[in-house]
Amino acid sequence: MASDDNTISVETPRGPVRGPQTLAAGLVMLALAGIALWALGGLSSGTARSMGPGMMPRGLAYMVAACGVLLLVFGIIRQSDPIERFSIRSPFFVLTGILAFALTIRVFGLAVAGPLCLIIGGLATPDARIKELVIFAAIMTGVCIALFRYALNLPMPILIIPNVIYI
Amino acid sequence: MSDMFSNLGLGLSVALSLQNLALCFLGCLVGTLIGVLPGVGPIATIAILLPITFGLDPTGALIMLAGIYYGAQYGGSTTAILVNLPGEATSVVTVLDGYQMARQGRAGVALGIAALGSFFAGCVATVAIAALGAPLTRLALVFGPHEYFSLMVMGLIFAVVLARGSILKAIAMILAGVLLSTIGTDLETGESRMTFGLDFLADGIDFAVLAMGVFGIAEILRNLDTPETRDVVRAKIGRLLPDRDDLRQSAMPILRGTVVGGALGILPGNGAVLGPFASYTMEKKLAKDPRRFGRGAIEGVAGPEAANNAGAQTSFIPLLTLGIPPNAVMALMVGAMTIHGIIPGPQVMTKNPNLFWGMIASMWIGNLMLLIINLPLIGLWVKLLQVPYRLLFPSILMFCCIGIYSINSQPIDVMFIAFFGLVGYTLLKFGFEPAPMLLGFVLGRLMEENLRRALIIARGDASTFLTRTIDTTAFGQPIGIPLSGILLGIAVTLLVIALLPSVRKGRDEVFTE
Repeated sequence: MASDDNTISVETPRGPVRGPQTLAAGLVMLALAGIALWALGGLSSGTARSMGPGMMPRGLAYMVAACGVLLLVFGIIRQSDPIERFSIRSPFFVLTGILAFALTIRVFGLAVAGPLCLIIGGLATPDARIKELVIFAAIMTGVCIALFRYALNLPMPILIIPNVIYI
Repeated sequence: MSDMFSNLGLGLSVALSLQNLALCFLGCLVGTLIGVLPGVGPIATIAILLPITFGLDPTGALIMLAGIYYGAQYGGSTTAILVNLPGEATSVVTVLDGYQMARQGRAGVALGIAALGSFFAGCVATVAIAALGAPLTRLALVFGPHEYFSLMVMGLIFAVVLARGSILKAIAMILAGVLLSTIGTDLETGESRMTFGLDFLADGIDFAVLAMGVFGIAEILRNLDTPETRDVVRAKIGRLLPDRDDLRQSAMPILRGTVVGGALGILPGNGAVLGPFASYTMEKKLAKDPRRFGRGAIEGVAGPEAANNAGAQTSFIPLLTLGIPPNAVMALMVGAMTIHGIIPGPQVMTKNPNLFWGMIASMWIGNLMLLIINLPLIGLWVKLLQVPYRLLFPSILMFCCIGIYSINSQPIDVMFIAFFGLVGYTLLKFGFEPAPMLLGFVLGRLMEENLRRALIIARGDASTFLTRTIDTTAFGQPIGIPLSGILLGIAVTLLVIALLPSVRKGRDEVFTE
């Protein structure tokens, strides 16, 4: 950012790296390009006259890598924002909630997968209240079953208890 | 001219069918319902609600989606006025004077003038789309693969220039999006590319999964990181209808906002985002007493809101006529159309006149409905704004899971929204904006296809993009216009200008004001 130069309050990071966020962004892009090139393996690029399946992705990967290198260079010579703190709690619970839904929807149905996702996901914030969440999950699941299964008619099992019940 | 009206008549007959009218209403309603939630912008709203339209016929689905889009936009303005929280870039400006008006007990008037301004802008923009639709489509029909490829390059460069933050990062995001689009089976050779041997990647990354992960889930994660400070207006909402003085003060700003917003919205790249900023700056410059701005000036709400809505609507023009989405919202529309088997582009108007004109007519009806549903329901929206985020986000999470599962009944899709959510969150942390990535992803396949075709025609000579001409006649003389080269030239010029230090500084100011 051009305006950063005039502000006084920005703390200058110590060490040779002046823009840690930009530097990290460059590394992310290089990693992406690296994975793409590795995944492309020996896919033929063909010629300009008849492009092979590998030409466009490979060209793009090189361009992404070039952006990565530029970001690296800018990260070293130019000041940028510091890297924001990553929280562990919210991604952990949110992603676990989604995975719980994915793993249970086919086996037990929406009546189990829905509340599971909502309660586990709801724990992502420190001010979660478990009792409130449980009651809220029950209501929301009812609403969703009525809305998605009956009003919108989407195919989706509601409740499965193996060998006993299948709605 | 008479053509235009008969076309609009056809459109109205489609849009006014009972089913489509109901879908338009439902779309506006749920769009506002989700869009009004703090921290959920129009892109996230459409991504979350996309699956519920998949069961409908294509015309109905698109009418509903358009309704969802306007609803989400209007919901965002409501949040901006009542909570001092801009849902997305285009309602940033509304916050400035809208929230001040709300604090002075004039929230109702602010909401009312926003709705009226949007409605007026919507009416004008609908006519503009209808008028420009046919001629632009004819132009698009002379486009060959060269011109299409160059046009998409230009659109992507526009999107880069107009994206917030670092230009280099925006370029990286677009390239990454195009790169993601090449995953899956290559259509021409049948070879699988970058699938890691996984079956579900054989058809490429599912668009809805990517959008919901990067916008729905990543937004939740980002919001959870910033402790919530929600300041719902406590003052009375007050009367909704603006009085004579209000109307007199806002009439010209609405008119100017409509023109500015509509004109910017047609630009490829995200032109619509500039409309509200331009309108606000203009009103401030024209005002007799500019000090009123920022302290609850009604012009500061009326103009930008009209510009916002006009731009939202005219940004359909490049999509409907050329088949090229100018921004992330339109990219979502392309995704929805493709799922219904409609390839956006000039042929839609000739092959599917019902769909094309029906959708345009439904835009006008959608705007009318927003006016009708929003004002009486304002009490409900205020209640909704008071639901704490600790209960909101788990519900959104569950909606996302159910929605994505309902498309293909594949648990693996659900797992992938978690994966892309994490990817999106990481990108946000490193200062990347995910919207250009989605645009690149949607345009990627079209670009590769057209690039290949153009190179085959030119026998591998890449200079064809600069030299190829389109034959036409001007003043009775046959001439050739190097359209593809001109488009690329505009793109390069624009990029160079945006990289000039002085312009860069101004660009930063526009987005931080």
